[in-house]
Amino acid sequence: MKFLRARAVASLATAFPVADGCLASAQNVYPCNRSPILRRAVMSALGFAATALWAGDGIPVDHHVRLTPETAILGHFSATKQPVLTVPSGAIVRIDGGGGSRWGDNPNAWLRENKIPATVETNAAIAETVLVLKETKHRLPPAPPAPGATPGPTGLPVPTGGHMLVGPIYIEGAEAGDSIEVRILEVVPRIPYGTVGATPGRGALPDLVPRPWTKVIMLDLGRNAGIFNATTEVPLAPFNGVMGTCPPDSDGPDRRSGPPGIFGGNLDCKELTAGATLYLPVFQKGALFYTGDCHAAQGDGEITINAIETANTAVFQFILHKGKKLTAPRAENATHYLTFGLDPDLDQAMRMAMTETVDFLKEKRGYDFFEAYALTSIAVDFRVTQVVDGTQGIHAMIPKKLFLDEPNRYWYRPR
Amino acid sequence: MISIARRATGIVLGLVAVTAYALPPEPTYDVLVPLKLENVSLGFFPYDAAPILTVKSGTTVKIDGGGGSRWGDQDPNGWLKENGFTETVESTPALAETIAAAKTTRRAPPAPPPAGMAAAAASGGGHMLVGPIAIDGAEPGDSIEIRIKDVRPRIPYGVVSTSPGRGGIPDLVPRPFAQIVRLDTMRDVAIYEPGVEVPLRPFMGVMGLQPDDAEKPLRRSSAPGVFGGNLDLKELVTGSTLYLPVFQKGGMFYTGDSHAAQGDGEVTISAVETANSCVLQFILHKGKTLKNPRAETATHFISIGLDPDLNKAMRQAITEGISYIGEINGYDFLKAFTLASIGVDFRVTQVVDGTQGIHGMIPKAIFTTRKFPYWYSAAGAAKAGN
Repeated sequence: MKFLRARAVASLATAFPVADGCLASAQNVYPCNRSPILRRAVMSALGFAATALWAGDGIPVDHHVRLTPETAILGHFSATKQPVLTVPSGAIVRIDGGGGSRWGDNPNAWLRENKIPATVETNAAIAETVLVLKETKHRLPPAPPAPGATPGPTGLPVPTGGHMLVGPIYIEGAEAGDSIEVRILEVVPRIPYGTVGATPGRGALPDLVPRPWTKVIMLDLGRNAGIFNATTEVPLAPFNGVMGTCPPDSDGPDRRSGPPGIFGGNLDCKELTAGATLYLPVFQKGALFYTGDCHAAQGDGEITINAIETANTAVFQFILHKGKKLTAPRAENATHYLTFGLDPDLDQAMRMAMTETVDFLKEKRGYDFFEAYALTSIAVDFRVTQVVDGTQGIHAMIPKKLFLDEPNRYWYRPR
Repeated sequence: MISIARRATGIVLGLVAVTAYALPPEPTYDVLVPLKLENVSLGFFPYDAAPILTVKSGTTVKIDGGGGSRWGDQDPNGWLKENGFTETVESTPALAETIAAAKTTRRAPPAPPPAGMAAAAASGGGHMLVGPIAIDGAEPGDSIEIRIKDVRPRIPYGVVSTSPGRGGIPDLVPRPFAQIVRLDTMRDVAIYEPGVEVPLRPFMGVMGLQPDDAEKPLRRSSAPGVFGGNLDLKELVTGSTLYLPVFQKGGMFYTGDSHAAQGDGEVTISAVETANSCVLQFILHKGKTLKNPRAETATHFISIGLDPDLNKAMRQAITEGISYIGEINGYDFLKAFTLASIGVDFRVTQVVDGTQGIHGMIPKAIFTTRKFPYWYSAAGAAKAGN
């Protein structure tokens, strides 16, 4: 199912030219040439059998960024890290992410113990994740423990640093004041499981979690199910929690990836699955796109601070919009426009989502304040994106079907 | 007090229906509560009101609600004509009844104006509520299940409005604003403007039981509470069920605040405000205590969090969701919490009623081996008109 859908996305991405994007206009789109067949052949030759099984490779891409200690970065965004790839507008890039590393010192023993049919030797994503955690130099000192958290068994700081990210990807010609459109062509887990946990001092109920707890969720890609246990399953809807351009200098150097911001980042918005599009403002030369924090499924709210945390491979198309300024991230899928509100206070996040929605409808429809605000009240749904990342999120779902007078020329339509 | 009337059908009322419907036929009911002066209160839940009806558990009641009276000092028929309606007060029972019922003396005193605003020369009022309906045998500590069998507009329009000092962004509204939205019940849409249409999803913004004595002497209807009230939860359409805790003998149910469609958030403080009739079945659950309102649809269980602070409303929706999942499937805190993190959606109910709301949508489908018998299915309703 998943692969069929992914291929459908790919073919549609090719069928609909970039200029049909909702922010695109002909003069500021930079098309690119690519030789997908060659790329695909190379990818197949390089791919491990296990990787092919879990990751799929149906979409012709221009570039494939693998997960290595050099491409990875842990827990922060750097404006000075060497780009792992430089692409023109229009390029399609596969990015392999990491994750699933709840194993402590001995991955294979942990995998066996949890009856996961994979080993470091047979699953490239696991091997790459192990290597990155061990060897990458792109990491910050560990964050201080949350208040009330119990120290680990050894009492020593854990030598990791948060989200496993890949990047930056440099988009040619992008400068502060532009925006980039990120079309999400495919997101597929690379490992047959994910984990969800809760930790005292973290999440939406930090005071109520009695002890650290982790649960392994097997992923059945054939049935598109995350298996919580024999009687409970969650539908899979994979997406990357973190997708962002490099934050502005005003956020300080080496900005931590925990809280999202107007540059995107750890939005943790469950709508950003294959077929969705994310629009991000650019703050640094080349935009410097980072992604990671692979999720197989998540509820609106992400209340424990965990989705089904896994390792995804994702295919993105980057489209540069010169001079199209954004004051906050926006998104779109086949059925909705999305606006975001972000703030440490949920009330303020809601306020920002409301004003963003009013602004969006003013731009989109030429409405005055009242027309935009009144339509919002009767037809737009506000949802809790997440309440666990320090900066909380609300997103507004604006149905496209409200507008009978607007043809839907979006690049992706579900079958 | 009226005992259960003989089983009426919708036929008689059907003759005076204002508009044609693509909706399924109205379901049968046991008792009709008409909209009239003696049945309403404006803007509050009066503690001294005698029940307008007492029913046994299991009774289905049709309640006619009011609304749509946006003509101010103008002549209603003049206002209707000016706005392009061929209907008149005389041809539209819901409007005639709304006008008559609005003369009630049972009205809340004018609310204090929003901060920084001048007091309006208001005569008091607020939500036009119908009730109270007593449920035989209900006592504090019990709960009442309300099956929403039908909700449909009685007038061909609704109004969406906003005013300075109110709503989700009160400081950004420069002046009062109101827009009439035509309801096309044949096509099941509200016409916002040519080319822009909102699907009709009629529901009652207020459904609640008489609040606890602690809320005396004057409990306004604007802010929702553990007794329900102005939940403004857009999921409570035909086919949904609301569960409310009982605080007073007989439960004492009120409803009102008729909405034709609303977004999650209700950001201006206004849905498509109209006049609905609703058909509700009341089922008493003796000894089943509830901490908060809960709801259910054919596809979801719904937890509800309420607090003036949205952060705290969210927290309550989460803890309520965890308890609900625990009761549904026996999961302990950690299991329910983690399952909710990956499988439950938290949405903003409304941010405009003083006490804000978040609701958690718990999909029934995630419990793959469980069957949850439920009284309503969309397919069944289309076939049986129920």
